[in-house]
Amino acid sequence: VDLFDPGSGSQVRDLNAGILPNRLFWTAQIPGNAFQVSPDGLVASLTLRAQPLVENFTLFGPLAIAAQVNMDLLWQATGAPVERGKGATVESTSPAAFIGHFAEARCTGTISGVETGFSFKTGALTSADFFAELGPERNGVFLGD
Amino acid sequence: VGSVHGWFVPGPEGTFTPIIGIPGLGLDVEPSTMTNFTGFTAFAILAGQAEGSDGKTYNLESDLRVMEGEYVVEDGSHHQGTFAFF
Repeated sequence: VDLFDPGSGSQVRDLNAGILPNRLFWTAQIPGNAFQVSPDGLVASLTLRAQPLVENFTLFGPLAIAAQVNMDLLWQATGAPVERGKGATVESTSPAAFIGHFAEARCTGTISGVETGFSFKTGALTSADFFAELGPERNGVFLGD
Repeated sequence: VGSVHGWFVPGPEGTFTPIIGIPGLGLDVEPSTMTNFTGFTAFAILAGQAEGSDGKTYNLESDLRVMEGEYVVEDGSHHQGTFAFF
C-alpha cells in the first residue's frame, strides 16, 4: 500500500508485510474468514480489520514502524476464466511456472490505515486503470497433479 | 511457508500501473507469491486517492494478492491457509 505526494510524485508511505527470515516476501497469513469466494469462483471479497503491516515510508526503506490497515475489497469477474501459465514446461523460477484458470476482473473497495502520528482513508479504489484477475491455480509440487 | 515465487506483475504487455509505472509482464505471469501452492488467488493493482490525517490528499497504488489453499512448508508437510501479499 503505497502513498504518493501528488505534487512532487514522491513516495511518502510504504505499508507492506515485511520480509521474513524464511524469505516470505511482503506476504502475511490472514484470517481464513477474511477472504470469501463465490461457488462459481467469479466473485471474491476481502474484509480485513486491523491487519498488522510494516511502514517503511519508501520502497525497501531502512526505517520500519508498526502499522495496521483495514480493507474492504470486492473482485467481480468481467469475463470467463481462461487457462494461464505454462506449468512444468518452463523453469521452476519462471513467472509462468504455474497452471491457472483466471478470469479477468474488476476490483473495487476502500483501504484505511493507521500508524504512529498518521492515518489515512481512501475514497473508492479501482483496478480499472490496470488489471485484476481471480481464479484457481497451482504451482511447484502441485504441477504434477 | 514455501519460498517466495517472485515479484512479477501480471497485466497486459505494453501497459503500466497508473501511479508507479510498473510494466505488465503478460497474462502468463503467476499472481501468487507462494510456491508449492494450490488454491484460489485474487490479484489487483488498485489505484485512487487517500485523505491523510494531516489534511493532505495522496495518490495511492497497491499491489494486492490473496491466496487461499494448500501449501507445503519447508519440512514437507502440507497445510491449509489464507495469505495476502501487501
